[in-house]
Amino acid sequence: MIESNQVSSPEEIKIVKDATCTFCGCVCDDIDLKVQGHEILEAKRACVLGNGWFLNHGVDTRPDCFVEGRPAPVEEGVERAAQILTRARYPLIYGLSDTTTEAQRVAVGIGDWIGGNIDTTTSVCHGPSGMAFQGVGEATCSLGEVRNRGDLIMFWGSNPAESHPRHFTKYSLMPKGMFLPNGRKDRTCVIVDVRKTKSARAADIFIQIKPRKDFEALWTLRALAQGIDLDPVEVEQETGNPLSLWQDLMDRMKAAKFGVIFFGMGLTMTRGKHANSEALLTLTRDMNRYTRFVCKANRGHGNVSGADNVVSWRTGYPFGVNLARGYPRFNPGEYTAADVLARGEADAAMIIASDPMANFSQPARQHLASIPYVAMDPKETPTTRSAAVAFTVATYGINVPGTVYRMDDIPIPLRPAFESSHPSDLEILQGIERRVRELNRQMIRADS
Amino acid sequence: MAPSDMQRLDLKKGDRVRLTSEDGQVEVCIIPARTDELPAGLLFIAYGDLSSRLMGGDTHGSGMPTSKGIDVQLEVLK
Repeated sequence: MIESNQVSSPEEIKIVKDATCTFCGCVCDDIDLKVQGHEILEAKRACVLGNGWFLNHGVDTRPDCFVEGRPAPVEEGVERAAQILTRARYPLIYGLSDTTTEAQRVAVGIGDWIGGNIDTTTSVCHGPSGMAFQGVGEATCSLGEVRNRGDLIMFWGSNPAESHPRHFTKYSLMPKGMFLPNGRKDRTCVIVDVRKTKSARAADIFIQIKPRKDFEALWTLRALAQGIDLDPVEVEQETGNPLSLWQDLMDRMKAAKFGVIFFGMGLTMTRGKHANSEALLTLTRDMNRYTRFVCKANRGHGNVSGADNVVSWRTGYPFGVNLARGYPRFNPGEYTAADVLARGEADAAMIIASDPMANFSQPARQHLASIPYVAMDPKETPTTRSAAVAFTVATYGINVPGTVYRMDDIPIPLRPAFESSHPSDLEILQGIERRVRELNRQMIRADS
Repeated sequence: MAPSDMQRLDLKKGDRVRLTSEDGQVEVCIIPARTDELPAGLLFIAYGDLSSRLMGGDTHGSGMPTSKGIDVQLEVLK
């Protein structure tokens, strides 16, 4: 609820109550912002990352649009973007995890009009888990259920103390819940990781496994769940931990009333990838023979879950979708951005709210730099710097209203703090979509 | 880097090293890990531009380049 959203002068201070932080997948929607003009002075209840997010977003004075590196009117940028996308034989649309679901919806529409390839940052985040969800299914729940019921909380390959700082206090460890009246005292926390991260301090049991041995450790637990005898020497050799420790963990898992495994990119980015996620999902499914057990991917960006949802309800698949034949095809490894670029297949691209020039492989970056592409971002990034057309856009959640999805797929409204002079992603994308459709009609008329 | 590795290689905080993977090479400064944070032989680098220069373009049919658990050779630059 916005307590006061009228600013009569730049000096007047207003309070935006229950603002939504879109920095990470927790999407905390209980932040009270103290706003003066175009500056957020205080973000009450925000974590260290949320404070950084809110307090460092003034209004960027850069031009709204650059074409080939020179400032240009937005209309010129929209025209050039539409020309690039409609003339391409294999255009790629990528990013989308840090923008509103409303903008994501239009981006998928453009992908359809141009017969392009659409992918989101999910593919280099929990994309392998997305593949595993399709193969195994997902025994899952909302974060509210974790808060009220979860008495055994496990984290596997995930470091929420640094990546999702309010995870422990708002949802998973500290809160007093409906069935956990004593909060932290009623919960047991187990953390499994190759590195003793800052999160390990919060654990009752920390298990440090050998690097690239997540799959072996998860299958050890699967075997123990079914009472299969294992060779203690082999188990210790493979996982770096004695069989007795894994047996103790399995005993605790079976004794739990409501077990939860949060998992992160320690599983998806390392050798095994989707096989690691499949092992964890299958273990979770197995545990439901004995007690209630769920798992949840700890999602990074503020609306990466929204990207999965929107691309799914528009195409039937969550990421890595090709629309070139007029109907959607899904194939990670073929239609995912990292592959389409590294193999030199895409001949144009539109990058929305992400920075592949900073974190893709070298072959992918080199190819992206060699093709004409459109970029939109609130800030200057390596990706916007090399773009044929770059739009400076307003920041979602701070300047732009809309909807985002929390990591447990709960849609949450945004309550912006102040208006920006820059257009939103949605406005730019709607302009590009209109022009793409006009150009398509012209091409059809010319062909006939 | 694990303190035991730093001792073995006679490295101190801020010394530069070159990391070479099958696919790339970066030069970085060494920061000691907390005492028991990392086992010997395991390095940690934050995900981003530098770490991604060590990745290959192949995703092995997953869409995800291998971004963690990459084998590297470490060369001390002195």
